[in-house]
Amino acid sequence: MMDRKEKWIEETLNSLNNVGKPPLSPLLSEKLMHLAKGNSRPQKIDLHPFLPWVAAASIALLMGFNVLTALYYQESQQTSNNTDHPIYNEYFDYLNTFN
Amino acid sequence: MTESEFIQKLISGDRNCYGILVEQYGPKVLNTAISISQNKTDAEDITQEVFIEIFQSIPHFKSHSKLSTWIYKITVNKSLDFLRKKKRKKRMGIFQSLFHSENELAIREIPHFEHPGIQLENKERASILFQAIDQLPENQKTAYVLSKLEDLSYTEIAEVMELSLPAVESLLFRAKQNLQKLLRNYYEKNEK
Repeated sequence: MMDRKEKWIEETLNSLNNVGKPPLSPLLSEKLMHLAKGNSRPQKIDLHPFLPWVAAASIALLMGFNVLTALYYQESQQTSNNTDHPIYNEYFDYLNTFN
Repeated sequence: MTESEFIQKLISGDRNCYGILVEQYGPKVLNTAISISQNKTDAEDITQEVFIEIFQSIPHFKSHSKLSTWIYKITVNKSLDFLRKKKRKKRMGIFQSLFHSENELAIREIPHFEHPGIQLENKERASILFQAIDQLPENQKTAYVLSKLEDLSYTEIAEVMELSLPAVESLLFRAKQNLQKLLRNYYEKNEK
């Protein structure tokens, strides 16, 4: 008698039995017919024309956020240097009196 | 209309015949390309490339093979070329090969793929099987896909792959053995 593992393997191998053929999407059908109707030198048409633009926009957005974060961080550091540590400021002011 | 008449009409530029060709062979080309590339978007691109090749090369078609065999041959070649290019790009970007042995017999984690023609109750298992099919050597994968998903006879597969009948039988036997090993490893690893 087939054990559980062998039964699972057999059933998995049979999972591709009676697979239906996916129909062509209307867009792809149209492109293929366009290729057929076209001139003697048919050319491939991009079915996903916006994909590179979406990727470029995502990268630009990410870079923008990085720049904004860096600017904000720099600004907050400057503010904290001036206000958060008055004792340092006093010390440096004191040193400056010798110059 | 006989096949040679149909081909003659295609060569003479009969629009209706082109329509029939797309209608009849489009789903077959798409299905083969999806099964080999395991990506619907890539398969649609491959399907376009296949039909461009068909329309350009039909005047040179020699009638000593069947039209369907010729179209399957173009589809398999275009799909495998596409995969090779994709792998080459991946290899350039990531040094993945440094960490994976070529002969490692385990189902690698690849993006989840669902064939659109699979029945709902078989989707999970078919997805695991597709991951295993993706690990097969190119010629075993091609023979298995043509046999299992395209229902081609051994003789037709032999014509498409330009191999002898015993070579195809041997390829399919080894493909099934390798798939069993891969699935056994997967089962043990995931303790079903």
